[in-house]
This record gives sequence, C-alpha cells and structure tokens, in this order.
Amino acid sequence: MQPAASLGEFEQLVLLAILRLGDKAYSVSIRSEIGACTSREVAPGALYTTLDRLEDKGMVRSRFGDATPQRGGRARRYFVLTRKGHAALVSAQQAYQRLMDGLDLLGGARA
Amino acid sequence: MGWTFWEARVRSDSFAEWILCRCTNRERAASVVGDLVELREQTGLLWFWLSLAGAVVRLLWRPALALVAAFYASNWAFSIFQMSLWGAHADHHVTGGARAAFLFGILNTAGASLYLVFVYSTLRYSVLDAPTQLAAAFTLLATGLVYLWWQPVALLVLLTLLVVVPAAPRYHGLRRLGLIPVLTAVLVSCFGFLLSVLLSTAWQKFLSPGPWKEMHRSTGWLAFFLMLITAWLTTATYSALRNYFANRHSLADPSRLDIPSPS
Repeated sequence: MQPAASLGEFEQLVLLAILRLGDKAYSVSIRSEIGACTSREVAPGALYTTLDRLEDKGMVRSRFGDATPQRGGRARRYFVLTRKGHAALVSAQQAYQRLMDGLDLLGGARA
Repeated sequence: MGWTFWEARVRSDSFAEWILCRCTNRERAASVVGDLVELREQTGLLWFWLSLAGAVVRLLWRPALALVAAFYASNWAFSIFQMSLWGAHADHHVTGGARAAFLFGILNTAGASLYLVFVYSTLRYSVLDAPTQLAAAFTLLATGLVYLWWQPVALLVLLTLLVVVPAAPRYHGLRRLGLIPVLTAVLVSCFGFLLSVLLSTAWQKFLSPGPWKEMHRSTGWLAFFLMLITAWLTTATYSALRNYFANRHSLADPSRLDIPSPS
C-alpha cells in the first residue's frame, strides 16, 4: 500500500472546511468557514492556488454549478473531497494526534 | 451618452474576467470573478481589484518561473551537448557525412528539449508527478546517449532502456499516457527549433546576402525571441496534454472517487 500524500497546514484547513461544508463548498464559503473557525483572513488568490493544487494532486474534485444573478451570471465552482484527499487528511490528523499523545497542551486552555 | 453605474460595473467585471482568462481557462476565470463580485458588496471595489491582482500573481508566478528556468536549462543543455558532440576538444566528436550530422543534430535538439520539459514539469507539477518522472528518465537516457554513443555496449544498454523504461510496471494503464505529453512536447520543441534556425538564417541572408559574415545583432535577437516562443508553445502543449490525461486518469481511478458528504 502506498503511503498517503503529505499535506501542508493550509491544505489541511482547506480540506477540513470542504468536509464541513459538504455539497455547499465553493471558494467563498470555504474562505468564510476557515475565517469563522480560525479567525484567519484568507487571501482569495492563496485559496484558488491551493484548491487548484489539491485538484492536481487528486485530493479534491470540482464541478461548476448554475450561474446566479448576484455573481453577474457567473457559475460557482463547487469542491468535494476524493477518497485520496480523505485518506491524506486522516493520515495527517493521526500524525498530529500521535505527537499530541502524552502532552497536556489543551488542558490549560480548557481550565 | 455616458455609462450608468451598473454598465460601468458590468464592463469592469468583464475586463477583470478578460485579465484572468490570460492565466487560466474561461470557466475558472468566470468563477473566480463571480466569487469576487459576490464578496465585493461587503469588501469594496479596492479589495476587488487588489484580490484580482493577487490571484493573477499567484496563478502566474509559478508557470512563469518554470518557463524561464526551463528555457535557460534547455539552452545550457543544447550548448553543452553541442560541445560534447562536435567540439574541437571533445574526446569522441562526431565525424561522417550529412546523415551522421542529421542524426546527432536530432539527438542534440531532442536532448535539450527533454531538459526543457523536465525542468518545467518539475517546477510546475513536482518531481512526484508521473509525466515528470518519465521526462526525467528520458532526459537521463538522452544525456547518456550524448556522452556514451561511441561505446557499443553502453549504446545498446541505453537504447534498450529507452524502450524498457516506459514499459516499467510503475507506468501501467493510464499512467503510461504520460508519455504522450512528454513526447509531443519534444516534437513541438524540435520542430520550433528547426523553424527558428531557418527563419533566423533567412533573416541574416536577407540583411547580408552572399557568403556568411558576422551575425547581425537583430538576427541574434530574432533567434532568441523565436526560441522563447518555441519554449512557451512547448510548455503550453505539455501542460494542456498533461492536464487532459491527469483528468482522465482521475476519472478512471476508483481510489479517487468522491467521498460522501457529511450532511
């Protein structure tokens, strides 16, 4: 079995946001989901290049929706995780978990 | 009659889309501008144009850097190969008639073209990409042929590898289709190189008819721009074919099917 492909920190955030949004994941909603969860202002250019890179790596797939008037008649590009993307995300999160084991990093924050 | 506010906005959106179409396909450009239009109500016009500029820079810097580096690498490889094959100080330089000159000329040009494709693909798509790995293998083999062509055993081994490498188990099924972008790009590059040489020579002859004298400065610039256009056409062809086959591969590979959404 091949090892899961490695993911950068921002790539993980984007994949998690897509997963949380389900079938409503397009760049505006992904950007606001990341902003809401991490208080991080994401530059649209950074998000587009990351989404394109993830699609090139086969971790997400995109499809174009219907054109809407509030977007000047332009279609949204919706993203979904592929199995490969899901496996890579799980592998990255498991690695974090293993590194966190035995550390009480969140204990102080909860108190 | 002047434009209304809405007309001006629609025209500026179309202009933004036209700019983005220079760096990505029409559907994606329209989708990006649609996103920025959607956010413009909250963020303002200045943010819209700054974000568009940011998107253009981020979409362009990598292909542009890859093109420049690949162009430099192919020119470097071409001159190194030329010195090795025909240079006065080469240990085993090519002798023989027009047939040998033609064959080794093709090897020289194809080798330099492979460097162009390999460097571009590495910087644009990473060394883990299957077509990049194929380009790397062919580049190594072409380099070997340039330096070891005079040794019969080495020549036989290299020519055998040239056939065996694409047939390796790693390159099965649709992954082997990565050969098509690599070989097509090499063909485009060789043809473009030949055309550049012919046009530059014709220009030089037009400027100073008769026997060959010192090369005119404009001929050098013409050759440079023609080679640069060739490099751009080669990389554009490679990218288009590579993306087409990568998409086909992704559709055919069950491990890359969508996972169900949580809702």
